[in-house]
Amino acid sequence: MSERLEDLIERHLNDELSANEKRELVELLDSNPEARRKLVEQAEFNSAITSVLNSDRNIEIGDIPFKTASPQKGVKEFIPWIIAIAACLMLVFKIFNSSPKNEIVSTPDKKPLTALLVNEVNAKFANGRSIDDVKFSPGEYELTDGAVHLRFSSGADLVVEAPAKLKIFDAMNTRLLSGKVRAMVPPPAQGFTVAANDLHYEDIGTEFGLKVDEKGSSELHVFDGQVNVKDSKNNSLLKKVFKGQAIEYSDIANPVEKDLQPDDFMTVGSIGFQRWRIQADKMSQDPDVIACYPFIRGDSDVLKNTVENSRVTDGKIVGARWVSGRWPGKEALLFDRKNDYVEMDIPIQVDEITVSMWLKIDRLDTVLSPLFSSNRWDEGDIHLQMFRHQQPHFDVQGSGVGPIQKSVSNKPAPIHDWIHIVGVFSSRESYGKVYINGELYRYGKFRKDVIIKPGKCRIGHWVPVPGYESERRFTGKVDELVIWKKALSEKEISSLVEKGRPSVLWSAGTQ
Amino acid sequence: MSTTNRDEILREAFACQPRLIAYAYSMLRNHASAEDIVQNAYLVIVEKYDQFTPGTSMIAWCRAIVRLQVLSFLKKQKKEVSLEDQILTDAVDAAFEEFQGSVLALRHEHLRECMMKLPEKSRKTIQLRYHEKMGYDAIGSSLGMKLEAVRKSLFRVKQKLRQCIEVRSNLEKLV
Repeated sequence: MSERLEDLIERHLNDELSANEKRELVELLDSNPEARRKLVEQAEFNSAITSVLNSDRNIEIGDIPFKTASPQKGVKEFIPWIIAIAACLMLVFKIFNSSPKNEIVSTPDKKPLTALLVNEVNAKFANGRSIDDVKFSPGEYELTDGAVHLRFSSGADLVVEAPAKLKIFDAMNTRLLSGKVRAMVPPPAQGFTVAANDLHYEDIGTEFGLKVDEKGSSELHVFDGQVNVKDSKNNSLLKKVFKGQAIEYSDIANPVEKDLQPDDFMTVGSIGFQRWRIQADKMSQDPDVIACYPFIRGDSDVLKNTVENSRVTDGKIVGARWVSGRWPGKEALLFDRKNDYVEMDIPIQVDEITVSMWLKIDRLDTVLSPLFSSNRWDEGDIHLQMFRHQQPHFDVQGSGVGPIQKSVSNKPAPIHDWIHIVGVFSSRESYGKVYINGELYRYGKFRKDVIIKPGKCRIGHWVPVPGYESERRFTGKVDELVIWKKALSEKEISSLVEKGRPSVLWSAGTQ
Repeated sequence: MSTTNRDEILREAFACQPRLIAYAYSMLRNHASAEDIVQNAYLVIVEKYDQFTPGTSMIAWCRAIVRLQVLSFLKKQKKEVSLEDQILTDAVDAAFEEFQGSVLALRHEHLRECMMKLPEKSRKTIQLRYHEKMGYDAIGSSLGMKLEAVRKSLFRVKQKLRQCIEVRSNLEKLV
């Protein structure tokens, strides 16, 4: 039965069964669970074969013409990067949130989708194209400002820096008319090609940069793997360029070797870093921000508060060491010894306060780990801490008994990954909240007219208070601390998470 | 619902995509249409993610949305549907309801690698069938084979692919 059943299913899937054969297949399916299981298995197998053939030019054979990805088909090109799509959903969501509610049968989007904008910094396109339009179809685009990170449906990533003009043909082929790009090509997208002038730069390995000027010359820098340079007229191979090599073509016949300049091409990470720098500058100028510590290394033991004329002091670094932060080039402080801390003075009283930190927890050795706390526990002092069972805690002394004791989320806070933690206290509205990665973890009401007066505080350390345990330790990195004299809304906190997310693939709450 | 929950739900939903395409493919008997249908279904899924009940089956929820899209598509085609087709579609639907989610754990990179290792004629057969959508007789004419030989060849090649994928999958587990 097996071979006959497989043949019937095979031809059912290709719509080749006669009426009698359809009845035969129905009988087999109705009477035999193994036949039903086989149908599902074979449909999934055939579908996978079709998807792989549709997405992979390397299976081209002999003289059989292989179709390139059909411009009519959007989803089939996207199968290799389901996971990546999930990571980009915040951006994709802009589209859906702005569209009217659909019924279950929605209007199909007929425009072919070739690439998605997954990240940008200060990007502006010519011809009024909005950066909120994250879908890229085949066509010509001009980036006049900033930089964008595009992810093609083949899985290839392209970082484009302004000014640049490019023409997207499909998920595997783009022409750079002018400007600068860095391409990162995973195995499924091997063969991803960027054309420039009379040349095709075909990626065989994983990463390269390409500059094209409007006079007709192009410059290739191979950071990893291999790129084949081909003549676009006849597709003949002109040169194989390997990792560590760079070459300039003004004249196809006379390529000139150049020095490799990896720093000359923005990376996926540097887009996030630049966007954060702009955000950090804005926060420093925000009149409601009383302290902004972007963790930029300066004088040996000073952590600079970048808010001008602030009464909140710079931090004094004791023991903690400079290490790398969320992105290459971003600095952080590592707290991994008993007496590592940064101390500052917040000699003011406020009605509301928001404390926002980006940090990475390595270990939670004590019952409570101090993230940012007043040195004492007098009226108005604040303590933002993490319990050993990975639940956050934020309290103001004098606010009442356990104002933040109601858990909204019992999920453990991520460790060994960058997280964004925010403590909010409002004396006006008499509530306290703690968020992790934009999600509300704890919420509590307390009596009105509580004083909030942090005084001297420390990052990553706690000065023992009589009557409490003698040791609380924080082990991990911190690379941003910002304090507002107002209670930020959930929307504002989500925006902080988005603007500070460490990478495109970073997912809030992923463990 | 928080951003995190939304991301988690949608991540899980997108992971169902190959299986949903296979389901729509079985119902429509056309892979390209199945992909379009599933694309449309994802527009709905992304918009209505908050209607998913955590703890219930994601594949079942997504499949229900795809099913409505399939039925709507068939209705729009306005083709007369035979009784055999109606019964067969119901039987296929029932099979997926019973078994989908537990049948095939297939990684595309394994399949791709195994396809690359096939002898040229076998690859041609696979390509003509699944990319060019040719029938057995057309493949036979193209490759100089009899219809029955094409059928048997396809059967054998797919068996080889399954075995190759299993070996790779087992090797990966060992590593």
